Amino acid sequence: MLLWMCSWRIGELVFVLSTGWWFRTRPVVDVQAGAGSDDRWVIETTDLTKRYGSATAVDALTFTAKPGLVTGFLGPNGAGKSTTMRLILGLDRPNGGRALIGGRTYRSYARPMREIGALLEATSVHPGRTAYHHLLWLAQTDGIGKRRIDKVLDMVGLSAVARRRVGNFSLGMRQRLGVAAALLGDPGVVMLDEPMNGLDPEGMVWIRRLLRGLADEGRTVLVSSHLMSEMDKLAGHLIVIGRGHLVADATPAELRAGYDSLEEAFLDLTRADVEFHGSTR
Amino acid sequence: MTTVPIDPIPAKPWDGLGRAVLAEWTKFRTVRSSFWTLLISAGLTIGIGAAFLPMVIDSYGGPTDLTGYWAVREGWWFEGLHVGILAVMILGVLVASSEYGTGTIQATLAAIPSRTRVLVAKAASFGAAALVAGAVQAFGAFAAARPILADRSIDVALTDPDALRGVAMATLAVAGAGLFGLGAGLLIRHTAGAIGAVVVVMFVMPILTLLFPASWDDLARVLPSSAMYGMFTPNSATFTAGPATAVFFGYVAALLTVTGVLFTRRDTSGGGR
Repeated sequence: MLLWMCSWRIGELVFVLSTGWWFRTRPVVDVQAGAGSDDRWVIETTDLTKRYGSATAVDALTFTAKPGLVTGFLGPNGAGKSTTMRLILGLDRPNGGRALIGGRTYRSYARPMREIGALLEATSVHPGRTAYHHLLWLAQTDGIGKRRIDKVLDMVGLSAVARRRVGNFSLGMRQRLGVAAALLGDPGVVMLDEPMNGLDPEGMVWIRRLLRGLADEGRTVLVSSHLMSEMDKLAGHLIVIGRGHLVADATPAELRAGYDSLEEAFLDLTRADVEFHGSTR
Repeated sequence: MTTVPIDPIPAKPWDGLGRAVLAEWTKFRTVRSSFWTLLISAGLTIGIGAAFLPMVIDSYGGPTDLTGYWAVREGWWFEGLHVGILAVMILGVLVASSEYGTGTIQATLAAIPSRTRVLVAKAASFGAAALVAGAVQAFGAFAAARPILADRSIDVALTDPDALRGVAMATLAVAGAGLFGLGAGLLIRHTAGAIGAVVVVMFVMPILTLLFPASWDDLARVLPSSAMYGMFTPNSATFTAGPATAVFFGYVAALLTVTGVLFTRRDTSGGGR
């Protein structure tokens, strides 16, 4: 039993040594590479279109997210925010148009994690793996060293539970792990799909500071959320979509003009595009 | 504005393949079920093989020297390998389908955009694990058989070329079965559906072939299940070990090719659970 466990590690060691020349590990990611505003980190979609069967999820969407500020990505449920992010990451193929990061498609990057870090669904982690091991295999795909794993675990506050299985994590802890994974390659572009869901009040304060800090360092930060007051405070630029098409592309102040709050402006703007209506009686 | 060198050449599938293989290996070993499945399947293969061997010998009932001859030729000690192969095959399915079930596939393809590289890395890392598991099962089954045979005054040594070939072929069959499961898992993308499919192809079809009329024997021979069993337990209903290996690995290669083509074209948002 113990022997088998040992052979597991020995097998890995032999493997690593025998192919060692292949992994010229870059131990620490160069933080300076992520500083300074640059066209390299622009997210740009042009007439991006995605249909699933007869349903059009994203409809000729054109927008730009620029470095140096937090871009809020807003829209009712089912508006196509997550689909747009999936198209940017090359996970799904568009039916028309294109999505580029720094003028290139995501799939054309040999080491994409160093360009763009993404959190799509915080629950998309194998529940039987520990937080550390989840980050370890991700880091290994890009030759990122273990010190960087410890660093991002520390940044998101999960160092103490790094050796616990993700299945035992709350949604907020999974969000933190997802943010850690997104930051692993120290990317110039950070794209997060509803990262505030499930966070506790301390977590909300933390993510606000983190996102603002990333933008202040000159990175492009694209964040989707349904929390209008948060987006009002945090975002320097807002993209609002409904039923897959662009509804508004403006600053929070511009959107709020004439309304009491960003929430009211949002509800008014997307009134025609809300697919799911609730009722109170 | 700072000038940043931008490489306009798209990433090749083999760029960073070694890193991808290491990452896939880490994924495999950091889930508890991998280790336990391989351990238990090896135990079952060896245990069932040892339990059934006396019955096989008794049912043959021939003279000692012929018993030894046929035992080597037909791999009588590999009765338990059916269970071991099933376990490794299901583990192969899970290596791929659990990524869709848990959503890990999104992180995988965001980290490694080349689908070809992901498939090759998975096949290499899991194929190596399955090969080791197969060697443990095959050598274990043979080692457990030796004292049982010795009780009946039959001495078969691993230095016997036919015995060694049987053990080597059984090892290869387990590895091939693991890759077959991996291909099915990545093709079907649902754990239950993919396990059902491989069980039907590998374990239900052999039962159905028993119902075939004799004139269909040639068809029965080329089924993946017959080819796989022919590798280590060849008999009158299968090819001999060499052609059986070629046919079975032909199926594995074909399945992985079809899977690879679809994997490259499909959206990641399909599949799951």
